[in-house]
Amino acid sequence: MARGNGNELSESVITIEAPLRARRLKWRPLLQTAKRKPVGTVSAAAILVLILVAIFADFLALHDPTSTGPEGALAPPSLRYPMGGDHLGRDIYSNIVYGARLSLAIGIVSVALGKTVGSTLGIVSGYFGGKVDFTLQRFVDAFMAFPTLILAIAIVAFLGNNPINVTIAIAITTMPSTSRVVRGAVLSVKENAYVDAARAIGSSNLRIMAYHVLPNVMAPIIVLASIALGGAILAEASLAFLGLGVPPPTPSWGRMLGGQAINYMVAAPWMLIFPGLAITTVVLAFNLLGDTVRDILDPRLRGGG
Amino acid sequence: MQQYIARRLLFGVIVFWIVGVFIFFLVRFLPGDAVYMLMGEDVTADPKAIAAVRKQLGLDKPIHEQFFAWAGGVFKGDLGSSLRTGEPAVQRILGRLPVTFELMALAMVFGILIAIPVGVLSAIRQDSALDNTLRVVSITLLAMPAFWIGTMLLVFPSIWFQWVPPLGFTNFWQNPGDNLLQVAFPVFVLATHLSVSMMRMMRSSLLEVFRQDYIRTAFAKGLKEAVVVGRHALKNALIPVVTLAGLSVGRLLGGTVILESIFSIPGVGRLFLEAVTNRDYTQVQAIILFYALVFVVMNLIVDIMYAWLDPRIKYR
Repeated sequence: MARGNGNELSESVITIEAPLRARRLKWRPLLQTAKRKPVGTVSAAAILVLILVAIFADFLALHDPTSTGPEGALAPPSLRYPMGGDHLGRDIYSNIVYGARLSLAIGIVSVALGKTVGSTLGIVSGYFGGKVDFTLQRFVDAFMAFPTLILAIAIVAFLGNNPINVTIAIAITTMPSTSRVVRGAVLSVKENAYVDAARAIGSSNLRIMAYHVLPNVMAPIIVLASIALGGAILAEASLAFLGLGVPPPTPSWGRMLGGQAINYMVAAPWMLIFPGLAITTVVLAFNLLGDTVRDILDPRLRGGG
Repeated sequence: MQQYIARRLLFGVIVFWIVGVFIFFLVRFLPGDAVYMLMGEDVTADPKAIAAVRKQLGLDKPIHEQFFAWAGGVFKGDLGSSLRTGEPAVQRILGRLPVTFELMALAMVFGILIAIPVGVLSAIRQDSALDNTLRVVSITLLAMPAFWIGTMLLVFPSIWFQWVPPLGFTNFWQNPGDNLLQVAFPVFVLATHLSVSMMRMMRSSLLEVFRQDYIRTAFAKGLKEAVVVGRHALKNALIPVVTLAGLSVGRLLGGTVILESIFSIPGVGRLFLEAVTNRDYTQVQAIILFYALVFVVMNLIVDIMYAWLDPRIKYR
């Protein structure tokens, strides 16, 4: 039995142990990557904390975030109200804790939805080419033409503000650029020999797209998705600030900064600081994580520096 | 080149129409009845009154008639009348246009003025303390919501100095001092986000160019760094930055919506928000179409500039 680092020889000699070895081996590349990319690791940890906060909000909050009352009104940070109280007496800390749920939920779902639809469009467009490609890309152009916030406002305004519409609106804003990038990737993957081979043995177009094209364009999709998460959360916050987000009483960081609250912020600056800080930290973490994912998966995409 | 421009122009028109149709149907497929929403919850109102409003809005005609009527209107520049004030929607937009234009133009100018030198500096001194600080600062600024920065600019001077940035808007020609002070803050916020993303692009683009062989040749020839960068590297590195600037007009438009409402500036952005909140659907439609026009034109300009700067594009 070989000593030393033991991996290569042990793997081939002792097949019974291989599954265990394989599982343990998988950790090492991850840890090595983590050490090489400290920024990404810290961001990932922060996001993990955020997810835990969202899940265990019930245990972490001190008060019911929606309960109003005179004792908390404009209360400065104290032991009872760690981040102070807002103008209606709600505990800001509890609202921030519960607000994590909304931001995470809408952020993740909207990006997942947008990227899925966008990638599908991109794959179909790139794979079939020709007229299909042309028409689809004109539609994509039309949506890309739009300032994302304005498009989102229009959609929510016309369809009503509830969580589903907000999610759909944000998803729609992430679709166009995804489809463009995926289409580009598909165009280059299409030329590969294995696609021709699959066609030669009679695979249907759908099968080729799903089994051959898709796995090979996953990398840019994942990169785009991770970068888009920060933007999605920012978009949700902006909509909520304008009063077009999820309606009360659901706690929402963006809404805590908008509407009536502005009138009281001079007297109670903690109403301004904490929700904004929460948004900034979360968006920052997602952006940095996205950058790191991009560096790992596809250094060629380094456009933003 | 002309063929290229013609093609991009055609695409632009197609895009504009797609947006128009999309908006047209979006408005008409509103949940609930638009008329009821307009008249408030006054459902006990006289059916005759409701019918009258429907007729006025043209909602009683079959949908294809409505569409052609509306499309015809677009050609003539008539986008309907605001449901709130009755004025022609286009007039209301044009009235506020100079305000928003001033905000966006100033933001763009300052954004570029800051982004390019800082980006160049950051690239030249790559990985230095300056570069790293700049990158940290820029990433953090990008994560801060624009409305948060704007609100902080209103609240903190008030707390610390008992001074509030002037709100509202006075015409530049009437009182330049007041005007500049009023726009300074929203422009600052807009320019910040804009310059940060352009700075990052400038930096990475320049770094990309630096890796090229012809730069190495230039240095090998003994040229000074300033000359190499200024004369050879910069022009090529600017291409993606310029395209980004053009595309950022969209983000700038979105930003004006938020900032005009925070700083009470009567621009198109605030009009949009008011129209949305008041359910002034005709106005909203008109503004969205207007934004689409701006964006399509902007894209066209960017495409043309891109082709001019990079001759390879023309032959695609």
